[in-house]
Amino acid sequence: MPGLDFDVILQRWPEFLVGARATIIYSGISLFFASAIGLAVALARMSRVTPLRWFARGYIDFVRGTPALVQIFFVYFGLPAIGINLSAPTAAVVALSINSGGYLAEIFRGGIASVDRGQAEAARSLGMSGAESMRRIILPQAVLRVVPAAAGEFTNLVKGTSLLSTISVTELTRVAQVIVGTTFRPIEAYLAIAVIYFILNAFIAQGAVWLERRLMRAQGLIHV
Amino acid sequence: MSEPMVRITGLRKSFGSNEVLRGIDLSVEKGTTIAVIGPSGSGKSTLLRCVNHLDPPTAGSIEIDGEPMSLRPDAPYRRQEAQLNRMRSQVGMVFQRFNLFPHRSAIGNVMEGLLVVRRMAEPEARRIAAAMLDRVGLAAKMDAYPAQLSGGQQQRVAIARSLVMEPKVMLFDEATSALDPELVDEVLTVMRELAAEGLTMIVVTHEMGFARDVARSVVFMDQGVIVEQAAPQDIFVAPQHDRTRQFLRKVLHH
Ligand SMILES: Nc1ncnc2c1ncn2[C@@H]1O[C@H](COP(=O)(O)OP(=O)(O)OP(=O)(O)O)[C@@H](O)[C@H]1O
Ligand SMILES: [Mg+2]
Repeated sequence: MPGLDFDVILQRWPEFLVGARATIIYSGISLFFASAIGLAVALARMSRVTPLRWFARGYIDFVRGTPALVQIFFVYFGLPAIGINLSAPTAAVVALSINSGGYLAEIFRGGIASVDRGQAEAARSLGMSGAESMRRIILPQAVLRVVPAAAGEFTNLVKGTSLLSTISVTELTRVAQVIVGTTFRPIEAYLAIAVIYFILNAFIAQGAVWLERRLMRAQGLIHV
Repeated sequence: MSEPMVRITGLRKSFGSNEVLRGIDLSVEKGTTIAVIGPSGSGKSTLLRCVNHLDPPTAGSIEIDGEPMSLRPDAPYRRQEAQLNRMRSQVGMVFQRFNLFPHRSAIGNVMEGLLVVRRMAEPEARRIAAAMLDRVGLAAKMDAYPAQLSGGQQQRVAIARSLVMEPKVMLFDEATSALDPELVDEVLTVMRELAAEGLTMIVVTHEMGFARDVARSVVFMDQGVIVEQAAPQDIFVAPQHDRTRQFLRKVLHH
C-alpha cells in the first residue's frame, strides 16, 4: 500500500481556495433567497386565504419529500425543455434556494407559533393590525428562537452545495474530483475538503451562538 | 341619563357547540366602574374578550360611546379590519398574565401603541410614555425589561401601556390574580386612582373589597348569563338570588 502523500494535495491549495470560496458564495446567496422564500411560505402557510395555505403546504411537502439532487437536475436539465435556460451557477442558486426555503418555512412557522398567543392579543388590543403585530411583536421574538434550527439548515445548505458538482459547478467537491483526476490521490483530496467543510460549519455553529447572544442582548433578555 | 360608554346588547358566544355566553345585556355609564364576579368558567373572560373582539361575538352587538365595535359582516374585509383596529385602540385591556412585550423595555412597551397605532414621532411618544410610567409609580424603571420587573411592576407597565392610548374604557381581566399577595395592593391602588379620576372600567375580579369600594355596580355571572346586577351595598348585603348567595358565601368566607 502506497503511503499517504499530502504534499501533492497541499500544492494545489489555490484550487481548494477557489472551491471553498465558491461553496461559501453559493450557500450564502442561497441562504439569503431561501430565508426570503421561507418567511413568505411560512406566512402563507398561516394565512387566512385558503388557496395560499394550500400552496404553501404543497410547496413544503414537495420540497421536503423529494431529493435535493432531483430538484437540481430538474432546474438545470428539466427547465430548458420548457424554454427556461439557466446557467449552471444560476440553476444552482435557484435549486438550493427553493430546497432550503421549504425547510426554513417549517422552521420559521414553528418559531412564530411558539410565541405566546397573549403577545398577539396584547398587540391587537392596542389597535395594531395583524401585519403590524407580526412585524413588531411576533417576528422579533420568533427570530431569536429559530436561530439554532436555521443555523442547522444553513449547515445542510453548505453540505448540499456538494451536489452541484454533478452539474459541473466549480465548488469544493468539484475541485476535489478534478484534483483526484490528475493526482490519483482520492483519500488525501477528499479528506482535505472534508476538513474544509467541517471548518466552515464550525464557523456557522459559532456564528449562530454569537448571533443568538447578540439578539438576546438587543432584546434585553440577557443583561451583561 | 346620557349615552352609556359601553353598550352590550344580546351578546352570545359559542366555541363550537359550547355556548359560553348566552345573551348578555349590559351598559356601563361614562366614568363609572363595573365589577364582574362569578365562578370559574362562567364566561367573565369571554365577556371582556368579546367586548374588544379578541373573541368575535357569535351574535349581538357591542357599542363604544355610541359607535359599533365592528361593521356588519358583509362589509369588505379591509374596512372591517380598519374599523376593528380603530375601535380596539379606544378600548384598553389588561390581562391576568400581563402579556408585556419581553423584547421591549418598560418605556418601549408603553410607547409601542403610540408609535405604531397613533403614528406618533418618537420624542413625543417617549415623553408621554415617561409621564405615564411616572403616574403608575415606575419612573425609576423606564429602561428595565419585563424580565427584570416584579409581577406588580409588570402589571403596572401593562396598565400604562393601555392608558397611554387614552382609552374610552378599560377592561381588566383578573389583573391581580397572577400576583403574589404582597404585590396585589400596588396594582389595586393604581386601579382605584383611575376609577376616582373618572375612567370607565369593566373589572373582572375576585377582589370583593375592591368591587365593594370602587364599583358603581356589581354584575354576578353564572353559566353565561348575568344572574344579578346591583349596587355593591345591595348585592353584598342582600343578594336576590340563591346562586349569588352561594357564590358570595364561598368567596367571602375562605
Ligand atoms: N378559546 C376557547 N375555546 C374553547 N372554549 C373556550 C375558549 N375560551 C373559553 N372557553 C370556555 O368558555 C367557558 C368560559 O370561559 P371563561 O374563560 O370566559 O370563564 P371565566 O369566567 O373567565 O373563568 P375563570 O374565573 O376561571 O377565569 C369555559 O368553559 C371555557 O372552557
Ligand atoms: Mg377568566
